Formats: sequence, structure tokens, C-alpha cells
Amino acid sequence: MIPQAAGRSVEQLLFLAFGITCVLWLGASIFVLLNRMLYDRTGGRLRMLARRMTTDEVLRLAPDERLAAVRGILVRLSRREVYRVTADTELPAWLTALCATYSLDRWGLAQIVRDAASHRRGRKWRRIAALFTLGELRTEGVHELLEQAVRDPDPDVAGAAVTVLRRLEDRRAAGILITALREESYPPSRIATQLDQFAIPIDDLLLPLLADPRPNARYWGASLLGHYPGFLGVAERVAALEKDEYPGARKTAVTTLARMDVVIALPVAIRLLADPVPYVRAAAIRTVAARGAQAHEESVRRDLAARLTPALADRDWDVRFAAKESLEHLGPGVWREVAEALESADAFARNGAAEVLQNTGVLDRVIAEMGTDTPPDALAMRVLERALNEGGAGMVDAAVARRPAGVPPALVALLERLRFTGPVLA
Amino acid sequence: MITLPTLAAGAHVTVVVLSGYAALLVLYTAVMLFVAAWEGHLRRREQDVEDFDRVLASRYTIPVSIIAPAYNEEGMVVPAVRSLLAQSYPEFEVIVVDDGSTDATLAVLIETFDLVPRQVFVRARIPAKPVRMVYRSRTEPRLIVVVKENGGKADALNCGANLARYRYLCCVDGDTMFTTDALLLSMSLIVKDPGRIVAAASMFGISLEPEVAARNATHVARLNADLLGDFQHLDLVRAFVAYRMAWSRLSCMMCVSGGFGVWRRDVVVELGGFSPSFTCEDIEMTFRIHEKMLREERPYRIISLPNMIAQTEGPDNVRSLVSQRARWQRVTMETVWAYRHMLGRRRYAAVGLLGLPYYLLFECLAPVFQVAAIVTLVLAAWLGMMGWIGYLAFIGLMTFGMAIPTTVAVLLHDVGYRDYGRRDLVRMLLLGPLDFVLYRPILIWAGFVGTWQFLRKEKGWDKFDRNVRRSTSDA
Repeated sequence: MIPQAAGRSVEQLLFLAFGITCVLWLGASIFVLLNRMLYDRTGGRLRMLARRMTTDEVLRLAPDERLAAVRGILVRLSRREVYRVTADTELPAWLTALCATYSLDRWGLAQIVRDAASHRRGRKWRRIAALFTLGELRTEGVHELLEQAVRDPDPDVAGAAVTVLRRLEDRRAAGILITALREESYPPSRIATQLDQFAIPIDDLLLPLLADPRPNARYWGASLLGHYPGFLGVAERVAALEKDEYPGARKTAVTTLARMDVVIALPVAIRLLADPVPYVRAAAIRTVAARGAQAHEESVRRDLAARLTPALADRDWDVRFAAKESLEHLGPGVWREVAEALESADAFARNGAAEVLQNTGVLDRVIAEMGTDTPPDALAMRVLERALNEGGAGMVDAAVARRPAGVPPALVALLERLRFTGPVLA
Repeated sequence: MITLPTLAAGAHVTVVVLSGYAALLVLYTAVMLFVAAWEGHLRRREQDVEDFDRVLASRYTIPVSIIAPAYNEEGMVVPAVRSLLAQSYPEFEVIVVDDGSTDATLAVLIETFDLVPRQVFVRARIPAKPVRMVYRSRTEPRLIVVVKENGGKADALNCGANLARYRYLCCVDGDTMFTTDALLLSMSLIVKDPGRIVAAASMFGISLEPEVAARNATHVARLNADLLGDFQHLDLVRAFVAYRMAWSRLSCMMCVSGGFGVWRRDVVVELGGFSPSFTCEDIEMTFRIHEKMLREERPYRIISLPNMIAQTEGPDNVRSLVSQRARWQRVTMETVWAYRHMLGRRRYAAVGLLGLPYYLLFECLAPVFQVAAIVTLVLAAWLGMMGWIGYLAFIGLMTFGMAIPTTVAVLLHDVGYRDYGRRDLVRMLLLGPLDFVLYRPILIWAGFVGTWQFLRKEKGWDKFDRNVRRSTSDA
């Protein structure tokens, strides 16, 4: 029997549910549009503010009089909106400054400080905005509030404090950031990003980090000091880290010295070529190459290349990779030193050397000379032969493909001798 | 012999089961929307106060290797690579992996970027098909083009990972157009917790002509003037804004999309690279990371960013759409089946208790329930259990019920970005109810096809043909 009564009640239920979902959808859709209209209205007010601020009439006013001129527009914004504008890093500086001044004028310092010191859950964003406002106003006591905030377990609060401290751009703010860096109360790379872009010199505040018992503090200290190459004694203090027990500090020491572009960088880097830790060796190799690339005398570059070439046979891949890139960086003039590695017992060193010779254009030059009246000398031919042999069919194919002018007969003969097969010999 | 009362009783049981299923889906969706709204709010506020200018100027930003596999992408590869090279980010490289294309993909790259061949010796830490040639650009030092034997997208990504120099891999599709801040937005969140964040996904939209959308310099998003494209776009907005944001918050982010995903290279290498034995590599890798990290009780996070950072091409015809969605259904089923041992186990935390059950119930088994619903409805009408009013009420309920998550997703997106004009906003809201009657049947059919393909153990990619360009302007 078909349960008609049950069917009717299901129908009624469905009808009710349909009505409810219909209303819900309609309500949600209207809310979306209303929300957008409210947003557009606020945006319109901010645009109006911008227009008013750039009129001649307002521009002629003293800075403190400008606020009075646009108060009529600002008064229509809620505290939440004003705060949000103040903390928005994408907006122009004049607007955030204006909103901060307005906040002080309208709600008073005590209220903003209360907001900035609040630890209440759910008030986090108000706290952050208040910190931005106080930072903009540079009010008394802002450093203490920011010092608390930077230690806050909430990363958003700590991150905002780090940003505001950098904006304050004074030595006290730098000191707070350096302490936070030592204590790692917030990701150190984020703090270092802000400290690295301080406009005022803070080398004396950073130097104590080099002697800090915490390895990461020494690491960041050395890295940030790369900003102060000409400052007395800084390079020497950084160089002293080459003997640090923490490999990260040794690596940073050598890369910082390279960044400082100081003479001492090269001897330190050369000593660290023998470091037991691969990433330190790789950093040292890159530093040696960076210094060598600046040398005017080819003899210096060749001498440095001779020191780097053995690293093509390093037991660690990253070091070999650094050696390849560094030798390329030294240019084609060091080809004889690189070619030494073609005779290495290590297959990686041999094909690494072949790759360097390819990438520095040495192989292309020798091949090009093969088709001219002044053919390459025996050594160059020997290097080409060894490099192609080590580079394999891929290197031959690439070399041929790079020569739209065609393959010289001498190269064909060489490839036949090396028993290469492939389209080039077809 | 089946009698009418038996049929009626069967229909009743089915109605009860389907109602339970629908109630569970409504509950799950409501919770997800709530969590997504909260997560989206937090992420937006974070971005408001983020000092992007300083991050951009910083030498402490983590460099990234972008890997873009391309197979027969001669039409899209150049604008896609240009959009990658145009990233506002301090240090990155772009590795385009031509996966044995049979069209002019390589030729257009050579011509556009002045590529020269090089032999490069790399450490093959992850197995991949042999590399035929590596090309470097004379004009763009950050670009590397690798030509290899065809092995599928996973294999191409593994090949790119072997060549990558940097610690983070950003795996993208070779036919997707990216906003210039895509990398910056992704990495600015990762850099806050690089020790734990092992992967990050972000949202991308569907466009029938993504290269045209990318040329739009006004930063005002535009809908397609095409119903099918808009439905697909809405579908992705709903999936990303409403679900993935919630999963991200609940530590059960189940799929870092192949269209744009940032992965920590050491984790990818440790896991042996992307698996070519699955139809798609992205969801499987996400599941594999969860499985390993949770089994070994290692701290990790997989996150989703709220930003729409790219536009990818969606099919412009139903046949191609069915083919694409069937593939998605198939790979979801493959992955859930492969990792079924995580289901419901406390050791796998939110992944086993929340994410995987969702995939099983509302993705894998959805075609079964959907087909059952259609059959039951027809049966109920035939048996006279439901009158026309009831029937229409049911259709209306489903139409507007399914539009609500879409509406909330549109709201969350608009609150975050305000990038659509009011007219497009209204259009998206109106498309919500039409989704059930015009678009959902296609997806139901695709789900059914995908399930059938899974049962037959098919593995093909079924790449859809490029859409015919309506725009006459050329970049």
C-alpha cells in the first residue's frame, strides 16, 4: 500500500524547507550586495578625502590645519574603519598619518593606548591598529608597548610590532628588534628584514651579537653587519667568525665579507675552502669567485680558478655545483685551469669541467676556429676532444645545435675519431 | 517479482538514507563555511598589515624554483612563461619542462626567449625520464627550458625538481597565467614558519581566455561572457574559498592544486618525488605528505592562501568539461583508495577523521548518491508518493540550497578582494541557483564517468583541446 499520508507530510516538509532555503539565499545575496555598497561608500569617502587633500586650498594650509579641513569627511568613518586605514600598509603614507592624527583627536590618547595594551581575545586587530596609530604618532611610551607586543605569542601581534618598530626608525626601536632577534620571539628572518632596511646606522648595536652565546644571534649579527662595510673594525670582527664553532656563523662570515667587498674576504674564503661543512665550503667557493671576477689581472683569476677546480670533485654535490657556477663566473680566461679537471679520476669532476668549458663559450670558440685559416693549437684541440668525450652525446648535440653556420670538417673528423654517432655525422 | 509495496518500501529506505546523507552534507558545509570565513578573515587582516614593500626589497626572502611542465602548449606557453618571469619577487628561477611535446612548444620558446642548447649534468635525486636537452636563454638568465622524453606531468615535475637550485619548488601548469604578486603572497606566509610549512596552495580562477584576463591592467576581475566558463569559475571559487580555507585552518588541507602549489623541495625529494602511477600528481602528493608526517609524528603544515593568484583555461564545451571532471573524479578515487588505511584513524588526526571522510562521502561516493537520488525521485513520482508540488518543492530546495554555499563563497571572496564590479557580483549571485539545474547535471554525469573509469583502472590524462579564441587582440 502506498503511504499517501506520509507522502503529504513529506511534501509539506519539502515545501517548508524550500521556502526557508529560498529566503536564506535571498537574504545572503542581499547581504553580499549591501556589504559591497557599504564598502564602496567608505571607498568613496576615502577618494573624496584624497581629492580634498590635494586641492590648492588644503595644500596651502599648515599640516595641523589640514585635519580641520577634512574633518567633515573623516567624521563619517567609524573607529574600526579609521583604525583599519591606519594599519593598512598598502595605503599612502599621508592617509595613514592623517587617520592617526584624527584618531588621537577624536578618541584621545588614553583610549588608543588602552587598545594597544589590550590582551583581550577578539581585540587583536584593534590592538594591532592601535599600535600602528601610536607608531605613526610617535607618542611617548610607544616603545614599551611595542616591546611587549613583539614578545606576544600571537605571531600577528608580534609581526605588526616588528613592522611598526622599523617605521619608528630610531635606535631604541632597533635595540628592541635586536633583542627580539636574539630571543627569536618572532621568525628571525622577518626581524632581520626590517633591521636590514633601517636608514640610520645601527652597527654598534649589532656588533655585540657577534659575541652572543646563541649561535643564531651570531649568524644574524654577521649577516646584518654586511650593511656597514666602511665602518671601523666591523669587517675584522666579522672575519673573526671564520673560527666559530657554529658552521652557520662561518658561512655568514664569509658571505658577509664578500658583500662588504673588503680585501679580507679573499683570505678568509680561501681558508674556508677546506672547511669540514659542505655549505661553508660552497659559500667560500662563491666568495672566492666573486672576488676573482673583480680582479683586473687574468693571472689572479687563473690563480683563484686553480684553487677552485679541485672542488669539482668534492664529495658533496652542492659544493661541486658551487664550483661549477663559480668557475663559470670567472670567465673563459681560466680555461686551462678548468681543463685540468678533465684529467681527474672523478667522473663528476670531468663532466663538470666540460660543462664549465661549454658554458663559458670555450668549446664554441675552439669549434669556430676549426673552420678558419688559423686553426686552434694542439692544447685547445686536446681540451675540446676531452671535453666532448666527457660531455657525451648531449654536449656534442648542443654544440652542433649552437652552430647554425654548420659543422667544420675538422670537427666531424674529431667526432668520428671519438666514435660519436648521431645526426651530425649522418 | 518486485511488487509495488516492495518498491515503495525500498524508495522509503532510500529517501531516509539520502536525507541522512544530505543532512550530513549540509552540516559539513555549514561548518566548513564558518571556519573558512574565520580563516579568510584572519588571512586578509594579516595581509593588510603585512609590509610587502620591505619583503620585496629584502635579501632574506627565500628564493624559489618555479617548475612549469608543458606538453603541447604552443599556444599558451609563451604568455604563461612571461607571466612567471614577471613575478615581483627578489630571487627565483623558471624551469619549463617540455615533456616531449609533439607540437611547436619548443620552437616558440626558442624563438621568443632566444634559447641556446646546453648539456647540463644534474643530480638525479628523483627518478625521471631522460633529458634530451637543456636550453638557457640569452635574454632571460632566470629561464631554463628542459626537453625530455614524454613521461607525464608527475615525471616532468620530478625532472624539474632535479634541476632546481632553490629550497622551495613552485609547481605550476604551463598554460596558466599568474598575477605578478603570486609568489610574493605565497612566500610571505611560508617565510613566517618555514620550518613547518611544507606546502602551500592558492586559489585560481577559470577563464576561457586566461591570457586576455592577464593583460587586463585595471586589476578589476571580469567574468567570462560565457555561462559554462562562469559556472566553472564559481565552482573553483566555492572549492577554494569555502572548503580549502577551512581545511587549511583545520590542518587537513587535502589537495595542493597542480595549477599552483609551493612545495618544500627536501620533503618532495624525501618522498621520492611526484608519483607517475596516479592520474594526477597533486592530490596524491598532498595525501602522501600527510600520511608520512602524521605516521612519523613530525611537525608540519600544509596551508592554503586566500588569494586568487592565477587564471587557468577551462573547457568551453560540455564534452571537454566532462572529460576533465571525470579525470578529477578518477584521481580522487584512486588517491582515496590508495590511502584508505588513514580513514577514521586517530593517528592521522584531522586528515583521517575529517578530510578523508569528506573525500570518501562527498566526492568519491557522490555519484552513487546522486544517481540514487534521481532514481528515487523518478520512482517516487511514478508511485504517486510525491505530487507535483512536492516534486517542484524538492527541485527548488536543491536549487536554492546548493546556491547558499556559492553565495557565501562569493561573499567571502568579495569581502577579501573587492575585485569584481557590482554587475559581475550580481551575475555570480544569480548563477548560484542556476548551478543546480544547468551545471550540476554535467558534473553528476562526469562523476559517473570518472567512477566508471576508476573501476576500469583507466589512467589517461584526456587533455582537452584549447578553446577557440574569441578575442582578436594580440599581446
